[in-house]
Amino acid sequence: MTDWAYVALGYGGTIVVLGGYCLRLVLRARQTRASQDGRP
Amino acid sequence: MTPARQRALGVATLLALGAFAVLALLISPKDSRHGDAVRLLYVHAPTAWTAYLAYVVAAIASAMWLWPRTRRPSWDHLAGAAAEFGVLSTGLTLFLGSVWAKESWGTWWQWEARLTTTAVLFFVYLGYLALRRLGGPGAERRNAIAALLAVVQVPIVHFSVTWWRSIHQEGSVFNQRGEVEINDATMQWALWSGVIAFTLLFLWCCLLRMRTLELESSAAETALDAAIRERVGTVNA
Repeated sequence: MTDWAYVALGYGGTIVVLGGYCLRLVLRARQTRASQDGRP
Repeated sequence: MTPARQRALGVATLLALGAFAVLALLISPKDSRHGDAVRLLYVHAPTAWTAYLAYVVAAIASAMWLWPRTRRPSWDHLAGAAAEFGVLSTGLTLFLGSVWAKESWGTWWQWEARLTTTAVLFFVYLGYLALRRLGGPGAERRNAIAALLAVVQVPIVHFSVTWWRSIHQEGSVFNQRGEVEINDATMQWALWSGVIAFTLLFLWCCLLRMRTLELESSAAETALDAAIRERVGTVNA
């Protein structure tokens, strides 16, 4: 593997994990707020 | 924190992450020994730092919950939110360290002090998160005590490279004598911008998760109150 392949693997994995977590947090916060307000 | 301030923190986090990406991937030079793979270090060290920070914040929040004068449900929510981000950061630290190890040591994993203690830290906090999900009476006290016991591992992980024989470098930023390991100024900027960006990300995620936990907790209480009222109404009728 080349140096850039290691970098792509490391940064790509980090973006997927952190991006997925942040997205989940935002969606869950919106869903919780909506259910509190009585919206579907 | 008001929603406007939280949004401002989110924007600051995005800007810091963008600046970090430019510094780490485009501006910082190659390393003489590791070539471009050194860029992994700029994200590996910040994830390890945010994991330590998250576990210490979880322990402080747990202590504040246990102290009768400062006991508030928000401390328990903060502990849960911080520990969740800590587990994520520790997982990423292990993953990035493994990629770094493959490049520099030629193997994905070694059962040596730093890697093994970090893996133990990850699984212990994963257990802590599972414990939190159990709920039930006295859950907050049990969670707080568990967080205070688990945080003892943080100094063990950090000093494992000096206490035991290890192939892991002493420190990615500072060595044992407190001297900075990275000599190039641009490389140092890339590393510190990563530390700042990931710290801001931790704060933003923590505040958002804490708010969600508070809303979920109040929704659960409201549902419980309604169920009790319904039950009492049925019995009286």
